[in-house]
Amino acid sequence: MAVKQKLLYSLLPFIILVALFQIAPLFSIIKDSFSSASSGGFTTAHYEELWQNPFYMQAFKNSFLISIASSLAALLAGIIIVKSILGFSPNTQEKLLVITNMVSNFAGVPLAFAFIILLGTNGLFTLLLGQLGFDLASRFDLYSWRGLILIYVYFQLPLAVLLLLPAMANVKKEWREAAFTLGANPLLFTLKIELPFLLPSLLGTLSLLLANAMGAYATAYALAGSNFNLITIRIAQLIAGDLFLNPHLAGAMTVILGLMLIASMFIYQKSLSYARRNVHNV
Amino acid sequence: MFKAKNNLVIALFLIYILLPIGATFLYSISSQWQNSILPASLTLNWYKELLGDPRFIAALMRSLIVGAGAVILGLIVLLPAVFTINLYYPEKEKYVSLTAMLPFIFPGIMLAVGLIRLYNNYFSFPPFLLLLGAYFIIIMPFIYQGLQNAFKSGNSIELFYTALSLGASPLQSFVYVIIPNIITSIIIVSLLSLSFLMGEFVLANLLVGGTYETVQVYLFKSLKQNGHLASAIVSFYFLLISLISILAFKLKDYRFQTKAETAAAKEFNPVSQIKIKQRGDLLELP
Repeated sequence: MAVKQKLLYSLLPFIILVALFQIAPLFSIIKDSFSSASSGGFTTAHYEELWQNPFYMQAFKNSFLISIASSLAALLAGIIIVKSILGFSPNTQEKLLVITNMVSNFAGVPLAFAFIILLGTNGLFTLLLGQLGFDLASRFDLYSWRGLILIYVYFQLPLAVLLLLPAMANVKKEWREAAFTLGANPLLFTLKIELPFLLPSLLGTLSLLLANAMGAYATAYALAGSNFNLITIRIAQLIAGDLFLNPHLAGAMTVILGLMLIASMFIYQKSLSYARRNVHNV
Repeated sequence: MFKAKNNLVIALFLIYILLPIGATFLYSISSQWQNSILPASLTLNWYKELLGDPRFIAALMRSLIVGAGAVILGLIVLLPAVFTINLYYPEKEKYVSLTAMLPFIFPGIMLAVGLIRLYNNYFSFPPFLLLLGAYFIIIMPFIYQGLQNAFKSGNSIELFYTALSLGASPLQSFVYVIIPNIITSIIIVSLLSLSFLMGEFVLANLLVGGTYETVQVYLFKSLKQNGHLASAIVSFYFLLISLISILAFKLKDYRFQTKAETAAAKEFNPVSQIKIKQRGDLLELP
């Protein structure tokens, strides 16, 4: 059919744009990471350099730790919050979701600034507690890792709630009633029915939150410039910093970050299909 | 008892997520605020100053122009592509979908590294076009998924064939039947993509920075100068993106109310109606 053939051309702009702005950049990163800075020939030296440099290894460790900490915290808090949201009327649920969705847009530079206003050295909360005779500054520093984790949890929490809500809404009230009629107590119900049913969704949410935190850059950068030793901050500095540039090293770091993200998205997809199967089986 | 516990949890949640935003707003309307619990006096001067600052207005316009440009480009490129795939090559949909979802896996920082290396070194590319291309990529998953859902739920394919059998040309059928049928979805996905792009900082800062200063880059630069002014920018920005997403939600309600199956859908699950633009939702966790 002529129309069918002709319409195939309508895919061309899509293919060209994706090739130019998504595929080609990815290939150039991989090529950079394996090519020598001086000769341009193939080398694994950049990966070896990363491996041997404690500073960059620390960046990977830090990124990993803050991702795990903020994702677990957001997941646990998210479960409690979603349980409570599901206790409200559909109308209220919808309103809470709209607010959560709106706040989920509040990330990056504006978010870091809002926390500085609230908890920074001259922050409103810091001043308020100071007036009440409590010296917050001596116990809590927004510009420390603890402060950064607090901000990470802030942008992870709405995402966790939005992801968990549809999954947890699938736990039917009747199951609870049936289990209780058969003699289960709330703890037993949670352990034997709710948790196994939700496990794939929880794992999926966790892996998505991890990926979200691993790739985050703007928040930490707006809070303390390049002071936090995170992968994304190091990459940005190596590719566009003022001091010394090393695009090959940035490439190698980016490839490793990319592999980590692919792994977590893979886990997400796998747990998604398990979760779907769970829903279909009941 | 459960009710009280639920209320407490939700109250704490709302305080946690709204407090930073509220504090920023309060700071933006206070004339001076040092060493006191509440601001010395309230004022709208910071907003006046902000809206009178040509640099801010220019940055805002740049964000809107590159954002709207990327959304329009996305629609022009993806509408025919999604349509063709659904009409003639449904078995290939999963490959196209995987391609369109790639930006979800790789964050802005990775895209920035690749684009800087490729287009600043080997070729030279005008900054605006570079940012436009990058923005097209990062909103591609939203637009693709939004259009895909609209095509699937709106019987577009059947309508297209009906129009053809009634004697319309393929182009006529597309423009006069398909587009009106999914126009609400198009508007919603455009609004959500635009509000997402208004908050984009990584690519704007690393790719073009000072040569094409967007509102986020402007905000970043003014953080260190005047806290009150910066908080006015943040409040203004949050108000803007909130209005955009509320508008999108209202449209969504409107779309559902105009459909016969609304009642059934509502009864089934109130939550399922709210399509969120986060990446998790687009891949749809059950």
